[in-house]
Amino acid sequence: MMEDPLAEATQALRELTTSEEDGRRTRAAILSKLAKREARPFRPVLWFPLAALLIGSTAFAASQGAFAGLMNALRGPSTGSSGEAPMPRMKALHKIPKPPPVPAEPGSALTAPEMKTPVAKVAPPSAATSHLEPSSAHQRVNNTQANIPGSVEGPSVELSAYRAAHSLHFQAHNWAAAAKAWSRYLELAPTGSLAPEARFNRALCWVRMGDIEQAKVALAPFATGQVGGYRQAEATALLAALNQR
Amino acid sequence: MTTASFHFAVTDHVAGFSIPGQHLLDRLKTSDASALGAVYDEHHQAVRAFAVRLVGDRASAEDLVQEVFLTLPKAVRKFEGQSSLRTFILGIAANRARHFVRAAARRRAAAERVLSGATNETTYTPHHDLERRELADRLNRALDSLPLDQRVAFVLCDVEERSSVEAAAVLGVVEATVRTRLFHARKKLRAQLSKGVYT
Repeated sequence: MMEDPLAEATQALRELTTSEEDGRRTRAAILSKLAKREARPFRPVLWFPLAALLIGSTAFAASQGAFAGLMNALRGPSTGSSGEAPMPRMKALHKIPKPPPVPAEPGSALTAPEMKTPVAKVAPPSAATSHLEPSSAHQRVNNTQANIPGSVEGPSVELSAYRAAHSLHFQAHNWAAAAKAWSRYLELAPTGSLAPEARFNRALCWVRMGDIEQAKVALAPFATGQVGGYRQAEATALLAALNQR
Repeated sequence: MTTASFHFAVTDHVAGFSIPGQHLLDRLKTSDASALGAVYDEHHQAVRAFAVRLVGDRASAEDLVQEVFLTLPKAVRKFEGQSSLRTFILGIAANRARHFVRAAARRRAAAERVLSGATNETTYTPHHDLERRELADRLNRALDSLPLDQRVAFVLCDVEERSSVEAAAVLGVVEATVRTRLFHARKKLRAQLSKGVYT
């Protein structure tokens, strides 16, 4: 008989806690949990940053108007045969900068400071349709500043002319009337930011009308990259196709 | 099977007890199920016995065993071969035991409160096995009053009869630390048992 109760209790604990189990159930549980763990490539903790990133990027894209371009790009190939292209989005059409402070001169106190011409920032139009009018909804015109004379209130005459030509071209498919409408727009805004696009579209109308030589002349500056660099590839392909005829 | 892989397989089988083959360890690091199963088959009894003695509750001990082997594939990446794999696994069990010891201690305390007002006739049964079981229970309840590091040292050295050197390897501390913890653990346990609080 042991006299040390601690030694006696320790021996009892040792003898009663020998591992007699084969541990098969625990083994199966361990391997099952391991398989589940390995089959789960994404941990929930990663979902929150990914969701935040998705929401943030979506909000940013929406604020930048990227969705409109994306939708146009997606719509482009399917509507190619119809020939309809979206109208260009007008951004900050009538942005009127604050007039700079003019030093007061004697005798001119009642003279109003000279207003600067409003600046039109216009997103590029998309055109195109068949192989002769390749889709270009994703292309953007350089936002060069165009001087738009006239009233700063309401749509400008030039923009109305552009819209009319666009409608005749891509909705009415009236090539002759569209060519004239493009020419009218170019008379109104020969150096406008939409002028290259109008020239390109007018060339397309001439191709449709069979005026190949005039179309070639009009497309040549695009093919060489002198104007409308975003149309260079299309113009080059179009010229090559016209030269084979 | 190539000559090299055959060599490793044989090495795994023969030397699995003390020095596992490098191939087995490599497979274990990649959470290979067959490798983990082989390591479990080799070491589960030792780990389970240690867990039961440390936790004092078979259900909690099984949970601890599961936790240890599920942690092993990740933990073994830090295994440098300076000790045996079994020592390394026991170290994982000792480090992971805190939560399970607390849970088991809470269960024991709750059971004791429930039984405190009732007359437990089995306590006075003159059967030898029951007396020893009661003795072990008293020690388990006394162990609940110890800090975990002293408890682990006592279980490793006195219950499992490991040397202080081996216990130091399991715990990753110097041998003197183990002896100090063991000294304090024995002193407190003797005091607890001699008080007869649990009798």
